Amino acid sequence: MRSPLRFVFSILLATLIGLVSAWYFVRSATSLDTIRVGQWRAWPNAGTEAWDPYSRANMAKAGELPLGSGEGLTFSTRHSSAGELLDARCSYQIAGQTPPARLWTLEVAGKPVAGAADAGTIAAIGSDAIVRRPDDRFSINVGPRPATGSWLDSSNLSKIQIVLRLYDTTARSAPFTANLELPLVTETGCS
Amino acid sequence: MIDHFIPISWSERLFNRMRRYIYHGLLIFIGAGIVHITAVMLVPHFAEKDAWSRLEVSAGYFSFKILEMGKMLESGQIEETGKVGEANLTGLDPLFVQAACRVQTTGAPVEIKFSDPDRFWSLGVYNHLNGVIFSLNDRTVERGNARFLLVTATQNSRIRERDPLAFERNIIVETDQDELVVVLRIYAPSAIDQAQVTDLLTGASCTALADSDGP
Repeated sequence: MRSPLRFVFSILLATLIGLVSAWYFVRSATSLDTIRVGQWRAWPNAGTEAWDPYSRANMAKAGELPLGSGEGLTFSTRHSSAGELLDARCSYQIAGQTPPARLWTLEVAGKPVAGAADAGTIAAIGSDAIVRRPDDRFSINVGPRPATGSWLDSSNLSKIQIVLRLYDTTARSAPFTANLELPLVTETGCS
Repeated sequence: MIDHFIPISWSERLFNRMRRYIYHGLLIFIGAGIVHITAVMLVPHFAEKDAWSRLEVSAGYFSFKILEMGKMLESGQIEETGKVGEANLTGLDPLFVQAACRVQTTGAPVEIKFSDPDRFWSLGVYNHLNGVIFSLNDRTVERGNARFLLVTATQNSRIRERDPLAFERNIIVETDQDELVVVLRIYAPSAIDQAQVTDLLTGASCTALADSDGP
């Protein structure tokens, strides 16, 4: 009598552990084949045959469509290079270099603040619109207050993340993924 | 229960208890593993808000339709503004105009044709599990009109039989999937660019060829 009860309990416990762990791993998207460069993350195998099941499930849940390997690669970060969570009320400088790409765009994405004057504003800039220094490095300011140079407004957003999309890039192919150089995200002040 | 009549030593009792713990521990471990793997694998099949489900609504059927913006948030979460509907995809590049066309290849070869926007563009062909079966960008294609054919293996061999040089003049994508969505993304950072590109996308065609039509 005790043994079948224990069996049923084991099965229930197994189901619970299985579901909770699946939910956790899919949600956290710490999948097996993530490229990590500093705080930046990318999934080079997303959409391909070698797509790992965790990021596949994660993107399915998020309703996101991966870029094809002939199109480009998306990097994103929710943290500054110092490892702190990005805050829309703070100002950041994104400076440095990107991996070789014919075109790239940098977006400040986030949850629109309720009642913001203009929720439709695009906080994104393309590589053809930025001013570069002679050594091909660039610097973009992100924050709620206007800044000199290239500036992306984060005042209408909360829970921000920075998304760097590289188009027609070699960053996706094997020998290049090992040593990619991505821009640093540095906090320059908080209001 | 004959066991009750046979006296067993304490060591035997301990051994039996250990065996039960190990048995149940293994049962939980293996069971949890099976449930875990099954759940993760099933998510893309049953997700109701995945990109494919959204594209089924927001893409045109045998015609390109411009995709509206959704906002990408932390993974696994969909946050949308008041303007953005259920059918909108998350994570689209706001500096691009993107259009999608849903097609069926079972009937006849599908022809995708648009005039070259003379700026960066890329194209991805997606299956129902949000996988990319084919993708390219503007550099892969000669300047002028961009033209692709989506064909099944049977249609492909028929085309090859009729016109062995068809492959030199066309980009032919063979697929074993019945239903696909073609997503075309064109770089358009300014409002003027967006208006131009929107015009171009309205003129883009995504049609099933009559089977007798050669490429």
